[in-house]
Amino acid sequence: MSVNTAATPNSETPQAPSLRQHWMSVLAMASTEQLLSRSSTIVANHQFSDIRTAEVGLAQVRGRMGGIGNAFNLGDMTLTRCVVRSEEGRYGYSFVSGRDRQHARRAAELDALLQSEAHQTQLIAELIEPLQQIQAEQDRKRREKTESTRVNFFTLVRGED
Amino acid sequence: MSTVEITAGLNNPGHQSQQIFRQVLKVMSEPGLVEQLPELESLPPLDNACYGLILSLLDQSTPLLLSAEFNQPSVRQNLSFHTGVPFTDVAAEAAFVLAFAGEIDSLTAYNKGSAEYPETGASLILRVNGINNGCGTTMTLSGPGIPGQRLLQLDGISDTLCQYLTERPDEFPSGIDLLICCGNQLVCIPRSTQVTLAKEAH
Repeated sequence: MSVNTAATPNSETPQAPSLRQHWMSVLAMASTEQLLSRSSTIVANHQFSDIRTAEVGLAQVRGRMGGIGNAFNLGDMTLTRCVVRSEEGRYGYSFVSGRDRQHARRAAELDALLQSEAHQTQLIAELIEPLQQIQAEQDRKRREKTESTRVNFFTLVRGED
Repeated sequence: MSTVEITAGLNNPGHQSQQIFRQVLKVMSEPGLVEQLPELESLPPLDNACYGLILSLLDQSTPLLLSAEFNQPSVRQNLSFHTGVPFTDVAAEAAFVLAFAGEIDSLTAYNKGSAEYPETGASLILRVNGINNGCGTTMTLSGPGIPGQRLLQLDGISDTLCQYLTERPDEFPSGIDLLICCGNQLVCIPRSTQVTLAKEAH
């Protein structure tokens, strides 16, 4: 999933994601229903103003074969982005795959809240970690399912050299 | 993180930018007519109309020249955040110029377009102190889009600009179009309009 590290599009060498990159990634990849239902009470007490209302567009996804070598254009993907400002004056950003404006708006709101020290620890424990666990679990199941269909290819070497 | 405040853009970009575009079309085709543009969050030193115009008209393909008064980090960051507009310091490259009308001391460097491609001529987005508010330079406009004559009073426009408008040194269809803003008000003087100065009031 190289898409969600797109927050630093120009960096040539991949670095370990920062804490903020991590929560932005978890918020973006969470399923919309789960994100909205789990966070509705959290954002209910806060006001946010639109800086850039959620808008749908295209982003070009680039990748490297095996993570090395030259980057090539893999294709375009639909992307929804949103920027909001919290009452504290913090800017929350989100870039979410797909066309769901509600998801992008909520992810941006939560990004703004997560940047404030007053909410960060609690939000990470109550929202980000559970969402991440769900994602890890889904990922594990998908891997297991794929693994069961693995085919190993062998080449028989003929001759001595 | 930057310390610059990001100002809100259009709150309904699709509809509002089309509405503003329609209003620009109206004032461009009827020079001297004043339109009220929608209310926006302010981005000093731009006034509402300047900001709305820029959000609606500018994008990655329209190089913008900022005058000395407007060339501030907050303006540059906000405009590139919302529109992705490239900034230029070369007057001849600019598709749009943002300036106070009193700041303009020369118009020779701007792109006037050519007989084959008149549409490449620059558009000036100018901020004035007042439109039809009882002081400043009164002009009589005539030409396409004006039944007979129309009076327009602008407060705070430079002598160079007045001279350019009355003398029209560029051969039509080359020339510069003016989009003039004050508060929420927008008025245009396109290159096809003939201008004569009436009187100066103080």
